[in-house]
Amino acid sequence: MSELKSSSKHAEGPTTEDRNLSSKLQSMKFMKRSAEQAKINDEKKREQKVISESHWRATYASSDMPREKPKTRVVYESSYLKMPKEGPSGDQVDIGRRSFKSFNKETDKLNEEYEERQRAEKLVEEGKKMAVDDQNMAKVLGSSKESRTRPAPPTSLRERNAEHKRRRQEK
Amino acid sequence: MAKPRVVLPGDIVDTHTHSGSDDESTMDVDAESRVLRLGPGLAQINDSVRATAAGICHSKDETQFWVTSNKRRYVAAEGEPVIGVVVARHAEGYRVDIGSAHDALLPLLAFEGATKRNRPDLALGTTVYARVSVANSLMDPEIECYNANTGKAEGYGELSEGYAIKCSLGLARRLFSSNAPVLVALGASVPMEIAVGLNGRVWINTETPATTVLVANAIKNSEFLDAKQCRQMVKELLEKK
Repeated sequence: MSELKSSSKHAEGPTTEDRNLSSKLQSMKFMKRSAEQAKINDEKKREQKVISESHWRATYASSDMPREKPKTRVVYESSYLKMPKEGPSGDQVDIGRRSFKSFNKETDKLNEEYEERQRAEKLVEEGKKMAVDDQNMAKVLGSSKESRTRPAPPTSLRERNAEHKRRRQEK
Repeated sequence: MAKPRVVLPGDIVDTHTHSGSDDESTMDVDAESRVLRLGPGLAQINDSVRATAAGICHSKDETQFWVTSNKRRYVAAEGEPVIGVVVARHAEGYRVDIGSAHDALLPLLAFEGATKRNRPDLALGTTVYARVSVANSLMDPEIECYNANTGKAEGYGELSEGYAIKCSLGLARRLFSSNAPVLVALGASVPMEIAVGLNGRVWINTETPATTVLVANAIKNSEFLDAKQCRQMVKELLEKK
């Protein structure tokens, strides 16, 4: 753009030739507004640059990153009641309120019922632990030859029919 | 780790399985993916299990670990029966002192057969036998005087007359079982009623104050005695009487 005469007023954005405009022109509001905008944009750009430069990532020499969560899952129990009993437990059961020598009949009754229930539950639990699964059962039965009292069942059709006849006659 | 061992706070507890398998890699994978049940006194810190209480660390089946320690300060845990003393009455329930850091709340409807019209009337200073229903580190504990599943009292409720003593938590736990030696020995000759609270309190009710004092002394003495010594001690006390 050619040199602007100081006296002419153009409705254009600020340019480098602004310095050639008179100070009176520059102090006018519409000129100031666009100058302000340019200044704000510059500031923003500078800020962005500073922020992005301040962000950094740690680079590890080794490839494996530290684990964030431990792999073993843990469940917390806050009461000793839920933990197994240390030492031999035998026939004991947890009872809170007890009466001895029939001091309080109601408590006696409660105790009996409670003990019954706890003993039953204990038996059920122990029964479950002792239960043998079907595969093991079959193995044990199949392997012992002494348990076989009957002769091996016949396989061919004729033999099977003969067996049937025999049994019916026995009945 | 099969044998119980003494631990101090900060000790690492070895929770890896010792199944003795030949294949090292599969054993590690299995150990990492199972679920551990940690009882009181243990916490998982940064992949390792450490003791937070001083005591004896037990384990079972290499999945359950816990530390037994003998303290006198009770920390409320859900499901435990406790003995408390009513200290205040509010609109929605009673404030009961159970020995924990904060007093417990006993709702007015947490009694057998309680309805909005029919509410219990406990005086201040009453001893109650209750079960902890809510206990965590964020809220005040709550207790209930009935079995919430069946709606029956089942031994919980007001303990009238009698005398409550304080003992250590370890002794209370031992008294809780049906074959506690000192209770069995006493109960063979003394008619009495006992309620054990796992918050370190035992309530005793007998015919005469002298008998109550005898029973209280016997229980306190039995803390460090084994079964045979307990029976001997009870025998001597009863003879002196």
